[in-house]
Amino acid sequence: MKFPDKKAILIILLFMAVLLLTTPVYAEVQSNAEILPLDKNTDFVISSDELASDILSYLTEKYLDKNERVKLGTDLSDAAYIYANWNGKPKTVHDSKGQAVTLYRPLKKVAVMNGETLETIRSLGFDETKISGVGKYSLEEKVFFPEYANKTNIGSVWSPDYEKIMYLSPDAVFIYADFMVDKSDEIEEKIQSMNPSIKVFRFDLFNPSTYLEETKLLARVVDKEKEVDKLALFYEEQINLIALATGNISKEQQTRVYFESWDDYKSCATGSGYNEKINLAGGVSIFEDATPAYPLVNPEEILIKNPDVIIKLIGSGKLNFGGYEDSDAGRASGVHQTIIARAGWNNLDGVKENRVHILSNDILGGPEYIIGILYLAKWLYPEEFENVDPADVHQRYITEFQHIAFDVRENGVFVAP
Amino acid sequence: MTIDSEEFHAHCNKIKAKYRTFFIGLTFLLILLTGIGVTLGSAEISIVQSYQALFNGFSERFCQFFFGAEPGTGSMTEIIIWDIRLHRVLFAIAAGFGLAIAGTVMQGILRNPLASPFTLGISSAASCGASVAIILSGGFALLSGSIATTILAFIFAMLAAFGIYLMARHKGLSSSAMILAGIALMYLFSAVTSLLQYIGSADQAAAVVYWMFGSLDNTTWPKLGMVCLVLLMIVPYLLLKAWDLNALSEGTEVAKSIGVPVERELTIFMFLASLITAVIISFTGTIGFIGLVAPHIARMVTGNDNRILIPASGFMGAAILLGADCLSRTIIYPSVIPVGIMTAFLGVPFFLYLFLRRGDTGW
Repeated sequence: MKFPDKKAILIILLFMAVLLLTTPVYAEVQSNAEILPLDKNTDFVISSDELASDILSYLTEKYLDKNERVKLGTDLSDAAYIYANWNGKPKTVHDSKGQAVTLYRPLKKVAVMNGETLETIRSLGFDETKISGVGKYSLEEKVFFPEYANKTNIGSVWSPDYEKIMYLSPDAVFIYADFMVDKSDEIEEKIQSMNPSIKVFRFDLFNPSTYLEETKLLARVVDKEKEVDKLALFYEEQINLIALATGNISKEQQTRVYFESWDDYKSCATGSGYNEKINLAGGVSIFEDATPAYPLVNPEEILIKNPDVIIKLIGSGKLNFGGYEDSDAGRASGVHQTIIARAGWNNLDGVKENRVHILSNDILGGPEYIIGILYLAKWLYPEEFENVDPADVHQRYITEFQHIAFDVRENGVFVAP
Repeated sequence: MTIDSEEFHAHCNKIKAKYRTFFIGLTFLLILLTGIGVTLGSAEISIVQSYQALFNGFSERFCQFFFGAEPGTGSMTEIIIWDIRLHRVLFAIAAGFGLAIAGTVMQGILRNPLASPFTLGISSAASCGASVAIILSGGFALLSGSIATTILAFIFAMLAAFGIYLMARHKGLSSSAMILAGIALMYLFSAVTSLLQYIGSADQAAAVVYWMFGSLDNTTWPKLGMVCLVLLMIVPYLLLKAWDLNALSEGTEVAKSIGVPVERELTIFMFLASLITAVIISFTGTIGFIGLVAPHIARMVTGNDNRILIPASGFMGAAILLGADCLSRTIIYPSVIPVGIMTAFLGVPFFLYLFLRRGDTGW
């Protein structure tokens, strides 16, 4: 029985050959050379002459010829916009990764994968109708992002929906910069290899040390340079307020905090975002020197270190409640009860003095870190912040910047007690 | 009881017919699944449009390649079919084929029904390499991003294979020595991976877990090309050497007595099976299950002759992986379940069904 050998080999070879054939035939789609609309002499400047003739012919047709059906073309409206706002020249903008992108038209259709960028872009007053696709997690936040509920789902950084992105073919896609950096790099590469005319912008927008800089870059990308100053002022106001009250406290007198994320006994040390935020609020984590950045600590050690204040974070993992999307405060208080009932905790100063607080990640993790830090500061130094109500600042942010009808005192669960 | 030559030939023909039906059936199944695969996706493209784009794209690329026509810009549907769906479907076939063959070879040389890239620690070594890249990526300025993940996963997988070989050689290369060494290494690499996950931040740990699920989301044409090239070089060799593998499956003494250079052949088979596995899983993450189950399913139909078993389990593996991928893209539409999870859901019930019906595993 010799023949199956040859036959099998033949079948396999044929099968592989077919697979291989398809590979080299694939060729990259060439990108169109980019030019400005109505830039007839292609000198990368829209001059008044270039623009005037088209405007005149449009006006003539519409008003002198009384042609009701004539519509303002995209080229003309874009060119007029560029002439008025960009001095008639292409605009080079940068993202948080330092990548320079030259825009030849204003962004009119964008997809935003990360919620932080979506929130900040809303703070900047970017027109909601220009956003055609949003990330999976933004769609789940129906209370916080109501106006985006019907936008196309383009997936998440874990599993981006490339088909939907290609199908939308937006002018630009916004994804994370350094968060999940490998995955984000890959998403950028893939989108650009499939359709080079889609611009990819990388922004994180959750890091207190870079948030304002990133916001300024983002504002240039979406042409909101005027609006960004107001937002920056709001953030600086709060930071200055805290710095003024806590700046003079020496290291030894700083309030000592035990911070725990939604996982039991998972705390924070130097190098973590939580630690940075505790420091900004003028406090110090009792596990500051631990490794790794998010250490799982020994419960005994908490009893020995005896923190002044205890902060427990909710909003993800096993404690996925609270925040904007949940108005039932019962579960947050339940967490509070469980925490203070832990073995030996009745001896902790923080528990004895009722300084155990539950905080929602919605106001600590993303662009609203400023609200969370203000709450932390008030809990750490109640006397210094006697006249400050973080809920007022929170409400101001919601009303003035997020433009949603939401009362932070009536709805949502952000802190307990 | 004696059988005359006529009866013998009739019996042979019956077996040949069975093989033929098996291969033709699987080929049709693969073609059918490919046809279904390219129409599945989240973009609103009808089945007719999908095929139009597929054939338009094909003729365009064909002209470009053979007659040097100018590359077209390609419509949006064509980009979706050709740059997102098609290479994924073909990659599922190639990867399933390769992993199943690697599993067959390992089970053959180790004479153990439990051997697979998973049990030999190669998969967990690859996971370890990937997590080193993901979590310590700041350390290597030159190597970052998904390329680093792929390269390190590959290097670690090959290191594991080499480590098993060295240890087993020291102990005289018995199959149980190889399996023990493999299992020990598997635990070691898993521990390192867990440690790295603990050190890393939440998002890095999550990235590692996601990598370990195994997924076909990140396939590209060049990756498919590389996998096919490796398979194209190795598979014909394995088929030519199938008799040696048959002899090795009977035990080293038998193989030695009929003149097979046991140590050399073992080393080569081990190396080739590891290479196939490493190349595939360094691109996809651990889709280890296919390497265990596809050979068993194929063995129940075709028996232990590696000349038939190798291609049969290859086809079986391709069908399982492609089927699992199609399912994983539809079951909780529009989200995609990582295919590594889906293969177990699809493969285990099928395997158990065959296993319980027959009452043995064909060994």
